[in-house]
Amino acid sequence: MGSDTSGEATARDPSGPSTEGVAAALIDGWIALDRGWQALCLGLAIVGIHLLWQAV
Amino acid sequence: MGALAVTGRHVPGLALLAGGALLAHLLAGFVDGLQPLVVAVAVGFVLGNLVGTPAAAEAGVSSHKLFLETGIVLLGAAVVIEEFLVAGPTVLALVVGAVAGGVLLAEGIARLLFRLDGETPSLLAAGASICGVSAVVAVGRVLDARGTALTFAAATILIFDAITLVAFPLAGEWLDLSARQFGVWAGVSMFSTGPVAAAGFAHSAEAGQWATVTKLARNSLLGGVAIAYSVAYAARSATEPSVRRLWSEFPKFLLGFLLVAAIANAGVLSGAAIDSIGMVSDALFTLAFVGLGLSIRVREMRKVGAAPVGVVLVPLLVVSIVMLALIRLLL
Repeated sequence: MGSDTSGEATARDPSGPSTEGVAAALIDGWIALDRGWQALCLGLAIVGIHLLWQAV
Repeated sequence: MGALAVTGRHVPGLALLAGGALLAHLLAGFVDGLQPLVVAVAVGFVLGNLVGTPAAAEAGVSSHKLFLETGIVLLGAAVVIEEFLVAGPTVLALVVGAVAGGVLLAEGIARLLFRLDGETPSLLAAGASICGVSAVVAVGRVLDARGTALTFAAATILIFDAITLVAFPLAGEWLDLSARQFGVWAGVSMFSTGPVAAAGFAHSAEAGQWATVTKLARNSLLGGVAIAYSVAYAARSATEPSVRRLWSEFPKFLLGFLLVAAIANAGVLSGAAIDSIGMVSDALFTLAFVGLGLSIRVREMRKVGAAPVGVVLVPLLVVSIVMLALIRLLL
């Protein structure tokens, strides 16, 4: 689907640009967020974790 | 690599906040009835003024505002909406009256009595009437204020944050106010969100909730006041008032607080989950209050002159006395 069709790229790094690239993109996106949005996301994530923990 | 570098840059400051929070809990354990949150501010204040914040810790320590706002979002879980809806219209009327009266009074005193000109009176009025330094910065952006005017106004507001953080809880005790009365009074009269929450929790957990909710209502007027200023300064301002600007100045974490309050009041969360969220919120507040204490610098405050202090002091006294009388009468 969205996979890399270039054999060269795959051969160079089979585990993908993945973890490192995704982490960097996530951190960049996080830093670019307004602090109010960051607080909203963190707060909702903590409540979400509690909801999950409750359901298990 | 980049991700690691960014995270690593925050570690020393976060460790400093965590160490301060731990120390605050240990010290509060020795004295009966002493709130760890209040001790956290004191620990930060002493550290910041005796030793200072190491340069390596600056980035992590600056996260204390994020911890404060996240703690407020989570505080929504402890709020009983019905209780707030009953007092809501009265509290909202008090908030609007305090903000409008405070802005007009501070502007009038600054321009007519102290003969200050330029944007400084507006920056001081916004800081004193809405939400402290963040209001100074937001209105400063709208008015294209000079850096020195911004620093000057922010330093003045920080002086009052430090003084009211000690004075309000003492006054609340002396006046024998109930938790709700004290919380609303601190929420409509004091300046920045952190000190308001800290003063509220210094009284009691219930007062802390009322203080924070009242202060959030006041913060939500920031966008409106910023637009009013941009209209008033229209001839000079480079920016036009718009819904976009209103939204950009709106404190987004307020939405998180409302969402969490709605989730908790819908009965989706168990008692144990609400208790656990309350503990996370308390932990975040403790970290935030150590950072708040670290940011109060006596040396910086000495640089502020008498005129801005007068411009902020008179409205603070008038607003808090009028609000105290109304709160005693209505709540």
